[in-house]
Formats: sequence, C-alpha cells, structure tokens
Amino acid sequence: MFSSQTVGNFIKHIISQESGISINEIKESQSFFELGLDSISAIYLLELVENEYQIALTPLDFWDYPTIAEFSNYLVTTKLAK
Amino acid sequence: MNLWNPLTPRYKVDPYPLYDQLRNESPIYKAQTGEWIVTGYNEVKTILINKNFGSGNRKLWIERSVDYLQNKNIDISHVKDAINTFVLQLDPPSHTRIRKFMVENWSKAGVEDIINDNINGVLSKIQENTVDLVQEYTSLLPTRNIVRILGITTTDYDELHRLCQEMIKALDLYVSLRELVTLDKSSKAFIDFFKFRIEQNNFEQGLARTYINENEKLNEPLTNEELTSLLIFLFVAAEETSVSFMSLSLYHIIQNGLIDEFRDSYTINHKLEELLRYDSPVQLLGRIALKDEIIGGVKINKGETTTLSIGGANRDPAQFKNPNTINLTRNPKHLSFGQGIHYCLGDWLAKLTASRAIPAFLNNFKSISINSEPANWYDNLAIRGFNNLKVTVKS
Repeated sequence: MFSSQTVGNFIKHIISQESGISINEIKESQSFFELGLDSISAIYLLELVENEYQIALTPLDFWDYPTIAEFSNYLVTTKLAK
Repeated sequence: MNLWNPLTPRYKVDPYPLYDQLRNESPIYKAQTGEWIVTGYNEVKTILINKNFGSGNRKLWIERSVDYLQNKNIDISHVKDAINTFVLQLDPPSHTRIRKFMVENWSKAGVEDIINDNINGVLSKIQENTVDLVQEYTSLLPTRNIVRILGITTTDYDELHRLCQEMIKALDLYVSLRELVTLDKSSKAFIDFFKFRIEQNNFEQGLARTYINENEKLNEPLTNEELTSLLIFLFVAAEETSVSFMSLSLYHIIQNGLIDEFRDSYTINHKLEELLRYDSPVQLLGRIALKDEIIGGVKINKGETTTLSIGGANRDPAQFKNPNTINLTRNPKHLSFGQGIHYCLGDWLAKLTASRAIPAFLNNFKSISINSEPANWYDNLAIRGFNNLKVTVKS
C-alpha cells in the first residue's frame, strides 16, 4: 500500500528534477501549472509516474487533478487502491 | 466539475452525449487544460473561416516536443520530418504555396477506374457467411487506391495500412510518450519508404511522378524532404478517414434498414452527405488564436487554442432539426470536411470511393445483417472509426 505522502514525495521529487526548484520549497497545494509544467513536460512526467507505479494514466490526469495533493490522492484512492 | 472528459471509455464508442453536455453548458467551453472546446455549429464554422485563427499550433507542439525530449535522450525527430509539409498544419503563406501545388497538379482522370478495379478485386475474395466488413473490405480499398493513384510499385498493402494507422496519431489531440515513440518509428518507416523512390523518381505513371516532374519546373522547388512529407500526408489523409467513412456509413445503413436507399451509385451523393453529418470520421480540428477575437460573445485571447468539435457542430440542434436522427432528404451543410482555407482537398476522392464501394458491397449479396456491434474503436479523439464489424452475408 502506498500513502498519499509517499506518492506526493515522489511527485515532488520528479518536479524538482524537472524544474530545478528545491524539493523543500514545493508545496502539495501547488498546481502543476504553477510549478512550470506544460503539455509537453506533462507527458514525460506522466510516463515517469506510470513506470514508477506500473499503472496506466491518461494525458488528462494532470489537468483533472491539478495539484500535487489532488493528484497523489487520486493515485492512492483509485490507481493504487489494491 | 470538469465536463471535458473525452478519454472516458464510453465516449470512444459514442462521444455525442459528451458534445451535447458541453454545448448545453456553453458552445465555447473553457476546459481544465486551458483550451476552448467548441461544440456549436456557428462557432466552429466562424473559427474555421476566420483568418485570425491559425492551424500551425500542432506542428509547433511536435517540434517543441522533439527538442524537449532530445534533452531527455529520447529521439522522436522523425515525426518532425514526416509532418513538416502536412498542409493541414501549415499557415499561409507556406500553406498557400503547398496547397496550390498539390491541387493544381492532381488530375482526377482515371481515378474512378482505379477505384472500381480495386472494389471488384477485393469483393471477389469475400466468402459467404460471416464477414468482417472492415478487415475484409473497407480497410483494404483506400490503400490500394492511393498506391495506384500515386503510382507506387508495391503490393505490401498491409504494412502501409498499418503505418497509416500509427501515423494518424500525429493528428490526435492528446498523445502519450509511448505513442510518440511509436509515431517516430512509423514516421521513419514512411520516410525510408518514400525517400529513395523520390530521389530516383522511381514511380509508375501517376501522381507522385507528376509532382516530382512539376516540382522541378518551379522557381522555388520543394526539397526532397518536403516532397516526402507531402506524399506521406496524402497517403495518411486518404487512408484512415476513408476507411472510417465507409465503415461508419455501411454500419448505419445496415443497422437502420436503409440498404435499398444506397444501391445506386449515381443517386446516393446527397444521402452520403447526411451520413457524413450524422457520424463524421474527422471529429476534432485544432486552431490557435493569432489575435484576440470574440466568438459567440466569448473572448478568446491571442495564443489560446481552440479544439473544434466537428461531431458536436454536426449535431447542433440550433442548426439541424432532430440532429440525432438520420434524415436522408436533409442534404445538410455539415462540417465534416472542414471549411475555409483548409477545406479537405481529397473530399472528392473520399466521396467517389464511398459512392462506388458502398453500393457494390450492398448489391453483391442477397441479404446482409449485423452480426455483432462494431469493435475495437480507434484510440484517437480526432479520427473516429472502428477496426471490426462482423456481418452475415448471403448470396
């Protein structure tokens, strides 16, 4: 089982690598858009998340769950629930 | 709540309830992605003919993706090369130059004979009883037609058809990284297929040879890379949309008991127009605002993208009475081939093919019935269609 926090930390980690923003400065309540994600980097990060957890996501998932908190919660409650 | 959820599996089979929901909320709906989803007929048409909306954003997006992924050591540069002269994704003045060249040198002579020949060839191989209408009929015709129209010396139709099915992803709205990588492979295969043939002018009598010869006479000829992309575009554009047009049409005809209405090639054109409205192969087109514009009372800022729902526009009740019903006497002004400067330049080929292939199939059997519902719908928001339709036929 994964907790929202573990997943959230992974997301923060890949966003930090992508944007150069220090991981401590990234807040769960921030939107991907605020953190500099666009429709191109989104498809790359989506692939990283898919590979990390062996799940299938759609390109719209980042937009449907636009903050780190919402996205992590979505993964934990639906994609990683079993 | 976000109304824009086109990737929900049920909408792949039937997207029209989604378009209705969006249109009821607003014919120009701001999606969570930032793009405007346009489902009203007037609004879609207005944007298509408005010079302040460009078509180059998709190409730009691919080019930026290539650069971005290069930094991650992922090479998808063949995609960029394959689509560089896709006329659909060019803005004037390059659009004007390429389109003029394509249209002026494309003769319709002999095309109908090619189509009829291929129909007879494919039809003669169909056995009685259970037939997969797509796999054994509609999906075989456009490849064979375009190969002969272009004058390509090959009989590897299956491989070309497979490549087209992958290439059409280049026109889809959302793609995953994995799909981009697949797209790169098919782009490379297509480029390799045409490159040598173009360099050597290794074609039989046909459109490709005409293009190569006429190009040499131009003051500013297209490069071989541009010609390659142009031929890939013609090939891909003529392929999946035509397969889809014939498959969707035959399905609706059989399903709705309309077989007798479509037996005569020479009287079905306006009826096919209604089927094009009812279920359009092309579902989405993209445009970007080149200036601030107000469309249907909504301000669209320069740089914002609009996703135009052709399927939504074609079922807009403000434009078409009882839009969810097939009415063969309607003769509708649908938007299935687009509108404005990008109006489909192969519309005549699609209609000619369908108007010969559909009656030929229907007249070949004494009875035809649907065996099971269409299956394996395309994984593509921009092009609608399915890969399998089992029908039972009796002679």
